[in-house]
Amino acid sequence: MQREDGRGATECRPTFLRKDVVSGGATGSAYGEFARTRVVVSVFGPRPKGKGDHQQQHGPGVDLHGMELDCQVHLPFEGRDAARSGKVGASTAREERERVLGRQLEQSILPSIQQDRLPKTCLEIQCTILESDGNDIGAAIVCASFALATSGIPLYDLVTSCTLACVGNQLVVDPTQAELDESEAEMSLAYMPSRGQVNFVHACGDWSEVSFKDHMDAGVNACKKAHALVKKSLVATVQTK
Amino acid sequence: MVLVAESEVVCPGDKLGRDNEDCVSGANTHVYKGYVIASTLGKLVCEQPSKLDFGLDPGSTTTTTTTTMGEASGKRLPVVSIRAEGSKPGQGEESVGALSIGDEVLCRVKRLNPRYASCDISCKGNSPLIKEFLGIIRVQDVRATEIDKVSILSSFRPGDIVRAEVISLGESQSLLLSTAKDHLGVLHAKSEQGETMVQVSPTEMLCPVTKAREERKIAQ
Repeated sequence: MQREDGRGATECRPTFLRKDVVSGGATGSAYGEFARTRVVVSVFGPRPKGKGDHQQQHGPGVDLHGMELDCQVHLPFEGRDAARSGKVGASTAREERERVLGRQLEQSILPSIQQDRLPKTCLEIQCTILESDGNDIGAAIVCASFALATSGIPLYDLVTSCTLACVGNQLVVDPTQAELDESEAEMSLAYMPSRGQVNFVHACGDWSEVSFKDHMDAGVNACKKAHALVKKSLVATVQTK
Repeated sequence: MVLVAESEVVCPGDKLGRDNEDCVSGANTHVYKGYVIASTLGKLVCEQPSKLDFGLDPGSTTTTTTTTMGEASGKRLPVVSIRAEGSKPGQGEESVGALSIGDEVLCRVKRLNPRYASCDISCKGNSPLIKEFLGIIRVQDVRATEIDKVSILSSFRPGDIVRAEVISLGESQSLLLSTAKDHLGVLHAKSEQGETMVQVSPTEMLCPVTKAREERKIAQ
């Protein structure tokens, strides 16, 4: 199958990662570019856990000495045209999507952090999706993990992510928004390559015709490829100093 | 045999070698499924425990646990650790400040209360923290002896710089600190006139201008 941008079916988009793009108090930050999906992630903290953090996590069985991860995703440009034309519910839809992405990012990143080494602290990840052309959660996850690594937070592993889509029984890795729109099923997963651990899976669509397992394996393979790229970028940040 | 060459850049998650067979885990590394794994981005430092460590009192070395493990196999294993970029050798092994029990900290006294002194913790060891943590020194943790005769008001004043040790992470917001050791206590204090005071006796400080004496729990 020929893809619009000339990639092979299992080929990811070109990745560009750069560190320290946000000034003003951030412990670490990164800019990630995956063709036309662009994100900025900044990491704040670890700061002392405040009273206002994560109200919903309080209750029985909550570890008082535990670490908290506060992930915020911002989509400043999404639904802008819809809001301008006066469409009702555009901003609520955007807020809902920001919340969902925030939760997904937290779920993907939290297992990679050595929480026991950061007791009674709160770590804040602010992610702004500047431009989205499909797979924005994957871009956010990879960029957040990169930013965490450059800020010196103790981690168990790097997290990489990829999205797959089924377009007419054909598997497509790292789809663009146009490919996603015409796909029957899609799946996103976050994976820690050195540990071989899947942190997060999100699948939707019609999976009756295709094998879920095969797609999962293809996703894991794509994550492993992405890991090599992220590692290369990380090593480069140290050596250029 | 360590898998990664000395001073090579490693990323979180990279395997460094088999635990207790090739090397032992040092700063910024952890052990997972029998392998020593890097926890942070940085350059690998491979240290052969020197013979000097043998002569020292076991209690005084920080690497006691690692050296004894190496001794069991007859040959000393190298300690692998990761030096974060930017940090100099021997200084602040952990760049990210999170406090744990036993850490020595520098704090500034904020307010007093007959039961405890509240402080802002601003340094861990000699390296500054990103954000100040809250800590309290309870009256029973001010000194080691005659703890029932201690008065907070005659041990600290607001604005004093105190060296203390973290003894507990506490239940709510504040960490619990202790100054119940000789080298812990007030390092720097100002008198009511705003002059830096000098120590004149184990428990008293003198204002050089007004010659007024004030009581403190002074670090010796």
